[in-house]
Amino acid sequence: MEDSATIFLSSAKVGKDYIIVEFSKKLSFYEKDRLASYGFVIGNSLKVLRKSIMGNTFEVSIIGSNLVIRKKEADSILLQEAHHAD
Amino acid sequence: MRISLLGYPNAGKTSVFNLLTKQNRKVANFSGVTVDSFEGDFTIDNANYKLIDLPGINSLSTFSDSKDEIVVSKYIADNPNDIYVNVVDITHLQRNLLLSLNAISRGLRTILVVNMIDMVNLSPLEIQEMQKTLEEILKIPVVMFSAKKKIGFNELKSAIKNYQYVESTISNNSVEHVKIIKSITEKLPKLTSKATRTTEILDSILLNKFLALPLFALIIYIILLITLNVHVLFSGFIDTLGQIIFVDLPNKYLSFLPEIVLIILANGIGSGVQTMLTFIPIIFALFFLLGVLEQSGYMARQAFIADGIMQKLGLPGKAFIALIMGLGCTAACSSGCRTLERESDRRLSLMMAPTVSCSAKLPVYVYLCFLAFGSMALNMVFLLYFLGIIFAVINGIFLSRSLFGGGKSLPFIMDLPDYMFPNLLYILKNSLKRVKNFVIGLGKVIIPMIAFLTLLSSVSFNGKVVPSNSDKSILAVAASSITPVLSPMGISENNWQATLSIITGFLAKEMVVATLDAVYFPNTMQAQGEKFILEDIKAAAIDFKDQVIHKNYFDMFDVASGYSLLSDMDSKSQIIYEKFNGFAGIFAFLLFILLYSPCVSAMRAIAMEISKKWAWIVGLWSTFNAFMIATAFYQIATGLASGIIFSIIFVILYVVIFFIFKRIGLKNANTWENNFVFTKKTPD
Repeated sequence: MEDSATIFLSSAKVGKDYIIVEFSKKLSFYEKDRLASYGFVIGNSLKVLRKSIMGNTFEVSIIGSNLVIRKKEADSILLQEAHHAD
Repeated sequence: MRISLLGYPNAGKTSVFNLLTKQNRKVANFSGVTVDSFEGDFTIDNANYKLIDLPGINSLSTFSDSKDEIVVSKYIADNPNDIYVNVVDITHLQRNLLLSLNAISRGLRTILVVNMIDMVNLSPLEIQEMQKTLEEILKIPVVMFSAKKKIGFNELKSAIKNYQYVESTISNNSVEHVKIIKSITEKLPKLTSKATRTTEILDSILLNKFLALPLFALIIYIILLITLNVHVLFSGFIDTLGQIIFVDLPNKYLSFLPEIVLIILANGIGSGVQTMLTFIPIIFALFFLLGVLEQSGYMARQAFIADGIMQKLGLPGKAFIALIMGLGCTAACSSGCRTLERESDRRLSLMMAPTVSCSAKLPVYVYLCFLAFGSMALNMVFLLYFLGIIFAVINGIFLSRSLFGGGKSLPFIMDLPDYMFPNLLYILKNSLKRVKNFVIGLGKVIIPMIAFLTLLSSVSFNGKVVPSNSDKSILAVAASSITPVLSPMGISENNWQATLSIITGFLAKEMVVATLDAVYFPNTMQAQGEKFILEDIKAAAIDFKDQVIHKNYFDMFDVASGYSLLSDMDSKSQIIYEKFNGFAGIFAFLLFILLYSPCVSAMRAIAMEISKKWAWIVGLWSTFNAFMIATAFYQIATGLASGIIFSIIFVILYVVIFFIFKRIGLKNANTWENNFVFTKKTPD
């Protein structure tokens, strides 16, 4: 089982559910605050809907809405695959 | 008592505002900052309330570099005792509640209005239960609302009237907020909205890995095709009509006036107005189509598709939308930049904007390309459009690494809204407003300038009236004296007309055609003075009808070859070739037109968005680049030795500029981003 492994959002699989477990230390307080205001907080779940053609832009479904984030931020959000009890 | 509306963009604040105030609104002013916001009054049982519609915001985070968010944060800090009516969109309830929880946990007096309840699959009973759940957990009044179906209006009024402040126990912590939202979601029935499902289906096609780019190109192509069709169809008719009303009629019936007055009135202002009027259809069509794209939600997808390139420029994907608006008009691009959050992004986008061919440059390309390149004309027009975009990207990379290299930025996060059917009436009104502004601009700036220039081009230094193509007129003498400056890019001294058209093009790009046509081929401007006027109109109408019926709308070449200005092509094209010293000179001139300073009205728009100084910087920088690139092309195309020498000068000059810009950029980074952090708060 791989579900204990953490991966960056940028390498997450399209269509799978993940949970945010950690943020990169490189993120400044301001950047973290900004991400949080869009729902990117530890413990929240998200799904990558698609990647752009160049592969450096990600459409993410989080907290009931669709957001677009970039490689730089996607490289600083650490995820773990969500467990499905059912 | 003052009530303020708070919420995300498109949550429906403005429709709540209109319902409460019965559309009685005026633009609210936030200390000189231009944001879309209104204020109005309303009464509940004889008590007066003032209502403020704050700009829509994406986050209430303490740190922001967005103009709107800074304005709202500041407003909240200054007015902690307002009642904040937080309008949320039920189809995106979770995300919307994030903002609500932020407001509540800050101790704001909040009423929650859950809007668009007609958009989801809930029974009246379920809606009632939802309200109870929300009130229990959030401990604030909750009104279930539908602006469209006018549900919840009285409930909102009584909630405002009976508002009692209860201190919130919710802590100001995002992790906590997300937990609360999750617990709310678990208690609610599963929401499905039609719009969300439609969006999933449409996105699986429009954002499909293989289809996204072709569809993207196709849509842009269709827009250009429609615009061009509209232009060709209507411009001929309007042109003839304008000729009759503004040129022929005055010439015929006002001939008692002194010659010089008549020249200014009919041949100057009259033919100027005539040329400009032909652009009304193209401007209207372009704004209408762009409006449809924007409202439908597809523009945000375009931003997503193009974001890969914009990342390399260090610009948000949204800047791409603004640049696409530049295809319509650089002034529109400038207003489009308002949606960009960072000041430096707005500045950089506006520096890039002038090279994106605006609709007014199209006639210049069409006119010169058809005269000079014959059957190759349309390919050349496309080449120019393409080059404009390439130059915009190169310019953007150059500046983002130098002048704009110093700033730090917050993450670019963009919402992808649901697709929706565009409000065509609203778009129609908006496009008409653009046309109106265009006509007013025409009156205010361009007509006096045309009158002035016509005077100068019709009078010689000794005060005599001369024919308008004469090289003895004041204008001709003045233009010839500047022309040597442009000789490196292939404009020789006897081609002062080209210099003149560059100057008049600064007033409005379409003036380049009007000027060239008037000074190269003066007799075409005052034709048919003797003809019976009604017959003329009839003929024009029949022409128009024929065009509508027989045109092949899908063949770009066929569409554009109907361009009406072109009669006696052969003799005209010979004159153009002679004047510009052949192909190299004509193409260098076209490159210059493509790249040089935006027109006066666009400059005014930039001045309004940023500052007068910045408008001048944009103008000078693009004119400088235009001169350098046109010269480089001409020198390389006409001689090996001179080409090599100039290429070396070119490279050295730009390397030097790069480093100078980099220094300025580092120094300025802090002043441009000084609103980066609005509320000083020590990071813990």
